[in-house]
Amino acid sequence: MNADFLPIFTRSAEAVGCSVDTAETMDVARTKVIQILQSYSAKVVWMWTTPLLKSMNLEEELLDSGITFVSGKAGEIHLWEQGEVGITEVDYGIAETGTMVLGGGAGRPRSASLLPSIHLGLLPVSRILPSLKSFFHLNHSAFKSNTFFFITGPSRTADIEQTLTLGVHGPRRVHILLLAFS
Amino acid sequence: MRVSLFVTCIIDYLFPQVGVAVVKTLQKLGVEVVFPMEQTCCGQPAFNYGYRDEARRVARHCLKALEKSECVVCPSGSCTAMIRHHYSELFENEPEFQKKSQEIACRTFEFTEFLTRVMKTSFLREVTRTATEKKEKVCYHDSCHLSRELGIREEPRALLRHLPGIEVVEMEKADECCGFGGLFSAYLPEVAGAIADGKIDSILKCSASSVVACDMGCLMHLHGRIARRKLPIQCLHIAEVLTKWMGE
Amino acid sequence: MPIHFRNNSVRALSDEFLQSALRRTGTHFRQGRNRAVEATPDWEELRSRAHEIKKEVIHHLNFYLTQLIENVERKGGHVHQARTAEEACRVVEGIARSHRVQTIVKSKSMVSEEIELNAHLQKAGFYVVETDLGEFILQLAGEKPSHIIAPAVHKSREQVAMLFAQKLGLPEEMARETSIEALTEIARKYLRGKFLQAEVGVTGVNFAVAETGTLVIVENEGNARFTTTYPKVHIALMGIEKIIPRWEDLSIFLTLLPRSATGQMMTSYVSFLNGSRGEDEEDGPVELHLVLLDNGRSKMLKHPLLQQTLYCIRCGACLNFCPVYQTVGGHAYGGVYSGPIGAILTPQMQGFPHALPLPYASSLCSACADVCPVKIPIPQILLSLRYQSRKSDTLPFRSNFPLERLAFYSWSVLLSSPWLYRWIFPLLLRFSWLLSHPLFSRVAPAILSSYLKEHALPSLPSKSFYQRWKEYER
Repeated sequence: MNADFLPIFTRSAEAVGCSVDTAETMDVARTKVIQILQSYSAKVVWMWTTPLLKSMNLEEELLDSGITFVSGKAGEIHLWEQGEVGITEVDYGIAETGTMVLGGGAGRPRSASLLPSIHLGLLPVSRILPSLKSFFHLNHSAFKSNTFFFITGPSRTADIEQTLTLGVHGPRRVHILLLAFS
Repeated sequence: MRVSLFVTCIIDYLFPQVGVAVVKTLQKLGVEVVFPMEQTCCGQPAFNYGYRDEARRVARHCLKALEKSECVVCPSGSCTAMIRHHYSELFENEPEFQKKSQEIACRTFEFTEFLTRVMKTSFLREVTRTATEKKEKVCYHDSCHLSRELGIREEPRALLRHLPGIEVVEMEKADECCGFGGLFSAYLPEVAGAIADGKIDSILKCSASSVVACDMGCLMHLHGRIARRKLPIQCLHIAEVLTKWMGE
Repeated sequence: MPIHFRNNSVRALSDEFLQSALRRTGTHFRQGRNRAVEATPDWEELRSRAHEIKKEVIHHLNFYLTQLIENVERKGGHVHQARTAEEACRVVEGIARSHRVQTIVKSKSMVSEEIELNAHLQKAGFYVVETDLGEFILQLAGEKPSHIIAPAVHKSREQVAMLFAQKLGLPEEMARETSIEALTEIARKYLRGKFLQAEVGVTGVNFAVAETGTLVIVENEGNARFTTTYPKVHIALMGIEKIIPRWEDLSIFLTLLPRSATGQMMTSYVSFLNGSRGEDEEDGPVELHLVLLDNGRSKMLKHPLLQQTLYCIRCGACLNFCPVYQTVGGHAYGGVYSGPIGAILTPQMQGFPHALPLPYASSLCSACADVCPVKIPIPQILLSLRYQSRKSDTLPFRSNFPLERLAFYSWSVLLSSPWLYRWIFPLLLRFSWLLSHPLFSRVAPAILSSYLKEHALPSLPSKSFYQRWKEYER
């Protein structure tokens, strides 16, 4: 786990069509999140409730900027569907491929990175690993027992005439905000 | 050095001039060439078509014909690969012939392989004697068995580059199949023809006046299509090009 | 009924759209794969290791199957073993019935094509929706996939637009909407509705880790994620050969698969499914079923060479590099699996004489073996299958190729006797002018005259090399 892989991660993620931003402090991170959401003219967002995201206290700032939250319990998909942006934490970044690893569990619905048109992942740089190999050799028991996902860029297809089209089912845009502070 | 020429059935009866060119090239380099008169074919057509008993019958004879040779040179990547790689499988239940086939395989060389790996230094000296003329553009086609089964890709190109009157141009997808595949081209003539057309289009695109290869099978197939399409491309075995530039 | 490879290929050759689609797709996939391989310095080592791992799995298949079943069950999954296609279909039907469902969504799965699951479920009264865009298009058109990775490669955007307008009940003017983005958007909206409405989701499996019971699904569109998130029941179908022993092996296979298939360093999504929805999770299926399909696979284990067919990870690289596939497309192979892998898999699953032409649908150029990420010796397997197809006892009709057999027999006798060879061959050549005589084409076997239509014969020499050598020696 080393920030040395940061430039490689950024390059790989951008190569697969992700937008990548970096925030050096918590305050900058909050501002960047708002800026990113505004750049997509997002009015309604939907966010995981993990300790990291909670500690960022984004709610108030978002409300001040006129952005509302959807919340909803399992099964209330009609509520979830209103979210234009899904904000999630990212458990690991894999530099070699520009991959975000998203674990599951409490406060981490799978839908947040799937239903909205835009997915914003918040990734602390200390969690960037060099390669697939380093990820699979972590011996992280949580990953061996819970469902998790690799996300590498937006949803894509080339099924009609081999022409690349984004957002066929999942998010059309994937944005990564790197948190370069501890 | 003395070598036995395994000329292959296709050169023997359809393209004897290629066999002559091979002999001339080797003799120019001071190699003594002998021709084992008993030789016929390596048995590949039957092997590739699934008739292994028949292939074995021919292969046994081939081994007998080449048995006494100190070193065998064969102007075909495909036939060399048959002897080197497939005889062992063919004789898996006949240890005596399997052993014999392995012995012969280890002293059998494809023509350009022999020139570049065994005869290396003397060959270069020989070629540089020829005077430069207006350069002729040729492209090289990698026949599949030579490149993939024997791993010979750069050697023939290097030989061609040494010739003062030749400019070697690379065609696109030089290592893709020409569509011959032995009886494949008779089994699926339309497909074989379409694959050859793709290859010929690559040749046209690189504006070479000749396509050079080390296997008469590919060249016969390509020539057949080129002649049908009435195109001005010559199909030459590398030995024909070499003798031409080595002078009389 | 036997597959008519030659007729199919002649048809494919005259299909201009198919030809241009094949050229475009082939070039695109080949370049992508080559670039990705260049960017992977230890590529060859990874291939060798993947080959060894697959060998290990196949040699200990029952052991790892038992381990996988235990671990999937430990995580709350239900495991079903199906010996035949029919059995697998019935298992899926049974699960769907027990939940009284109507709509079933499916993500792309070659195994489901192999067992013809859709037809079975539809006959049983279920509404089945394919959700991979390519498969969705094919389902509307009532066709089979023509490429493992790009199933609808043979369809033009105009054809897709027409299909959408006709089959999705869209207004007529929609048929004129042929921008690919707009068509994709139509599919997105339509299928999103189906995902949220379906009660059962059926997917394939790319890798199943025996050690942990993890099912891995690799995809780009996200439809497999939808299929495994919203329906309350997830049914995963896999051939028994898809097992890999250890968790760490995933790093090798997830490096090899996307790079070989599409040239991506990684696909957009990889799902690692460990059982059904966890207790603390808010979404995901509440029930997971894994159907393990044999369908002739364990029969293939007997032969040390042929069993390597089961190493395949379905990347499609052999198709993209095969000169024959690139010329005729997937439908010519007359089955679910096409290209070089289809040419060795279909004969072993469906037998001869049905699949007789397939092992011969190759020039034996070995390009497939060069690119196969798990190093399946496809050309050797083709040769072995050709041998088996010609051994008379494998065929129900012993005299299936009497003339061919006679020809090869005489040829071998001729060529193993130098005296006969040197006497008869020149004689044959002397009469070869007959081949180009106009009368010949009327009496010659059709295949020979077609060959001559495509290819000119070389002009024949007056003397063989043998004769010239004899003169030279004198």
